[in-house]
Amino acid sequence: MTHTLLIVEDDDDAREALATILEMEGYSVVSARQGAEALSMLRQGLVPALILLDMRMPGMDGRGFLEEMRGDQRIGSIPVVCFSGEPALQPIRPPVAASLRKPTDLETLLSTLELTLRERPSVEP
Amino acid sequence: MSEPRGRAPDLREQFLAVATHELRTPVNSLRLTLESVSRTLAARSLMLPPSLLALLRHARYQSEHLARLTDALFDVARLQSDRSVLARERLDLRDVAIEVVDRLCVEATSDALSQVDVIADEPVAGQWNRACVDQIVTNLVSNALKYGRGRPVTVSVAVEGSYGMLVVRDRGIGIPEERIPHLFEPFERAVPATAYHGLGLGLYVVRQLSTVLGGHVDVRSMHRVGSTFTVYLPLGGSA
Repeated sequence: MTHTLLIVEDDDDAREALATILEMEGYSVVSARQGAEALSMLRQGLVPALILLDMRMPGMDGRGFLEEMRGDQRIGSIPVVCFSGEPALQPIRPPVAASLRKPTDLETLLSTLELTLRERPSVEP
Repeated sequence: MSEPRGRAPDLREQFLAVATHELRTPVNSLRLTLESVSRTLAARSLMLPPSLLALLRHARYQSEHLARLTDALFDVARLQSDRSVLARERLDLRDVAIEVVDRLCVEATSDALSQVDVIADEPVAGQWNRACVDQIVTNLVSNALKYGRGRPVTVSVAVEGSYGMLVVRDRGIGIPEERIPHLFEPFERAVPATAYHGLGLGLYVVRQLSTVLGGHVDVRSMHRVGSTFTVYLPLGGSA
């Protein structure tokens, strides 16, 4: 089964590279440049198996996106793996499935995605 | 000290914090991309000429080095505000020194390698953060190789009272006396930037990390003779 991932990352090159990398690993990838765009996509019916979220973004940052998303029952249960520029001195609220610190290595990224998808069944139709 | 001099360290530290944040995304992307290329080549049994494989290997090494440096810089920037977040484990400083020297010797270019001797007669075990200790040793040994004029470098570890002591000695270019008081400040260069590449952060990171671990770093140096850096780390962890 091909899982669909939603990448939310404001850096264009980083977002495109990550999408290519994950597509080469067999995932179907949809991308958003910022939190508001991602929310719009989700509310318009996109149901990814997992969201890969950059926490530091202009405008609506990762925490703002999580608060909006978790407050919406239709999309609030989609598992989120966040890319954080720092280990959270305070726990990330709302909670995420996993947190990866930038820079990370490919093996850690892929195993984290696989484990998250395995433990949280896909909500795709 | 005049006011402008007193303000400069705060501005430098602010720059350090901002810069490390900005570095993380491109370094992350670079590393993942190179690793993905290597992984794909292996998975599909694609053959590249040895020279291209070597270039890919060098690029991956540099991206991993950038990642380690970014991590270390970020830890320094973050630890200025909260020094309680370090994970500690029981480490043998002797083992860390040997690992770092082996890694640096493997990764060094063949025409720049000095002989590095590790002298450690006994274990030097303490409760420290592994990444911090590794970065301290890496930065000091890297500097010794960089400024050592190809002459042998000595890395010694020993127990000194309630401290683990790391001594890195080179017989290289040494440090002008007037530079020594500022040596551990960020972006301070004791050599012309045109002669030796670098940001001037290595020793600043060593001092910050040593302090975070409850220790300190000293230097003795004579211009054109060589330098000796000594790091003292409390064996029981910081107070």
